[in-house]
Formats: sequence, C-alpha cells, structure tokens
Amino acid sequence: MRERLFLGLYALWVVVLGMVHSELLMLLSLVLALLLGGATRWRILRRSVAVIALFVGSVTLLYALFGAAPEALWLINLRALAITQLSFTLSARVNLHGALGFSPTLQLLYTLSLTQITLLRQLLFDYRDALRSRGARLERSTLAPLLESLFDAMLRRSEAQQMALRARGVLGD
Amino acid sequence: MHIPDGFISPQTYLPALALCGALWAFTRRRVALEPEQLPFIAGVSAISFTLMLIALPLPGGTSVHLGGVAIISLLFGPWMGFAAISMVLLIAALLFGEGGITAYGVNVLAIAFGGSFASFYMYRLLRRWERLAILAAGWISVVVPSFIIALALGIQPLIASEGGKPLYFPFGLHVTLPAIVLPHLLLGLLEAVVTLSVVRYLRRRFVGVLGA
Repeated sequence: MRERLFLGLYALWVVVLGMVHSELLMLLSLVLALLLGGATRWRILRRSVAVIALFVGSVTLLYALFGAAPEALWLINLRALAITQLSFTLSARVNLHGALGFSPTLQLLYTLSLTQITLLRQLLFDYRDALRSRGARLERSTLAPLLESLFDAMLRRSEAQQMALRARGVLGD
Repeated sequence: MHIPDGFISPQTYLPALALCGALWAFTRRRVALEPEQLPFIAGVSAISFTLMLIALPLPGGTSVHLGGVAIISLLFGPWMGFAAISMVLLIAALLFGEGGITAYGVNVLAIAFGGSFASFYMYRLLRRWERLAILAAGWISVVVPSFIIALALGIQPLIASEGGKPLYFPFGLHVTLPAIVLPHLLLGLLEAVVTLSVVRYLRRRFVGVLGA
C-alpha cells in the first residue's frame, strides 16, 4: 500500500514539475529527491547527470550555435535533472513490484520480464567476455551462436516460469 | 532516440499516455491475453531489451546498436511486439534511465506501436520478395519511430514558450525533422541488414516456434 502511495505521489509530482515553470521549484525538488535518496543519494545524482548529459549537452550546444542565449535552457535542463533524479530515487528506494500491485497482471509481467532480462543480459555479457578473452569481438559472424542461446534460454525460461506459476496455483485452474 | 525527461510537455505526454492506455486495452483483447501467455510475453520483452544492448562494430571505430523492433514484430506479430516493447521501455525508463518517464508515452507510440506496425505491414506488403520485405521492414522500423519522435519534439516550441524563451524542447520542426530523420534513413539500412540475417537465421533455427 505504501509503495502504491509513493508511486502515485511520484506520478503527480512529475506532472507538477512539467507544468510549473519555476527554476526554484526544480531546485527544491532536486534537494527533496536528494534527501529522500538516503545513503545512495550521490550515486543516484551521478547516474542522473550521466544519463541526461549527452542529450542535454548537445541540445544546449546546438542552441548556442543557433545564436540563442543558452541561459534560456536553464529551466529545461534543471527540469530534466529534477525529474530524472526523482525517477532514480523512486526505483532505488521503493519496491516497484509492490507499487504495481494495483494491477496483478502488470505486476506479474514486470517481475517475469525483469527476471528474464537479468538472465539474458548476463548471457550477453558472458558471451562478450568470452569473445574478448579469445581476442575476438561481437560482430555479424559471431552473432548467430549468441542469438541462438538467447532465444533458446528465453523459450526454456518462459516454459519453466509457466510451469512454476501453474504449480503454485497462479495460473490455470 | 531516447528522450530524457523535461523535454516533452504535459500537453503532449498526457494525451500520448491516454492513447497508449487505449491501445493496451485493445491489445489485451486483440491478443486474447491469457495468464498462461504472460511468461512468454515477458520472455519476448527480455529478448527485445537484450537485442537493444547488442552493439555491432562499424568501419571507423564506431558501433551501432540493434533496435530489434522489426525482429520482434516479424517473429511474434505486431500486437505482441507492441506489448513486449512497451514493457521494455517501461523497465528501461524506470530502472536503467534510458528514455525519461515523461517521454514514455511518446516512446511507446513511436517505437513500440509505430515501429512494430510499420515493419509488420511493410513485410506483408512486399512478402512476395521475402528478402526485400525483411530488409524494408527493418529499415522502416527505425525510420517511422524517428519521424514520430521528430514530430513530438518539433511541436514543443509551438505548444509552450514564455517571452521567446522555450519551456520544453527548444527546436522546431524545421530542425528536428532533418536532424533526427535523415541520420535514421542511413541507420535504418544497417538495421535492415541485421534484421534480414537475424530473422532468416532464427526462423530456420526455431522452425514452428517463431513466425508471426
């Protein structure tokens, strides 16, 4: 219940940040997100900056090249940072599985997707490391075995998840 | 093509999210979603997420990431592609910061809906010439989303500015359309080549399992 409340407040606050055009509000929101971030707040901030830096940087630079004052983008850039920081704080501090409890289907789909993503990402990284250790790299000629194992793992895992859910009475009759 | 938060106005993303909601409701009926299918949809989501992480090297030291939208759409059908890629975009936005949460609705309409359906129907249109059909599907799966995103970004100065100062994305359509669509016309060619080899390989390898 608490998680759902946090998700609702987050969604509402994101809309407010989009509608109110005040640099002060963006800064306040950033400070609030930092306070809520707990011990990981600075790591979250570094991540937020890294995520938006390329897009924000290139837009600001282009804007300056077009002859406009880049200070005009101060509000937009602050807004980008404030919302990103808030989103990362939410995912770091709130159990998203619990927050999605308003829709059991979405909750189940989210959990199953995340477990499969974790598995397949690891397969991809292991394959990439294995290629690197042999002095090779991922290219079209080395893509086929990777794709085969990814699809194979996905199909097997989906089947295993289906059986596990059925065995626990989540699926079927 | 990932747009961070703060560049799309609520006047754009709230209607986009409402439209997404209607499309998801329709998808649920269209694919007759049964609980038994959920692990499979989750698997397809995970595959499309992983495909997007694969970077293939290009001459000159750069690399290109797979989009994977056409691959998913041709292998599993456009509705499944739409549902799975919507989930991928949500997880990518919330957990990995790839695409802002306020850009989520626009990203879903552009990539999950536009990309999946454009590639699927392009394939259907040209399926008499299978190789060409898959190539064209791969190409258009990149071009259509880039066009939709260029439109969504380019209309922001028309929607909101204050005393000549932009409140959201600052460039109009005259900048966004060429700046976003033109590079994607070329990137689409690479996606087309990869889509052709991946789809043909996987259809041969997983006969009877994959194929929309």
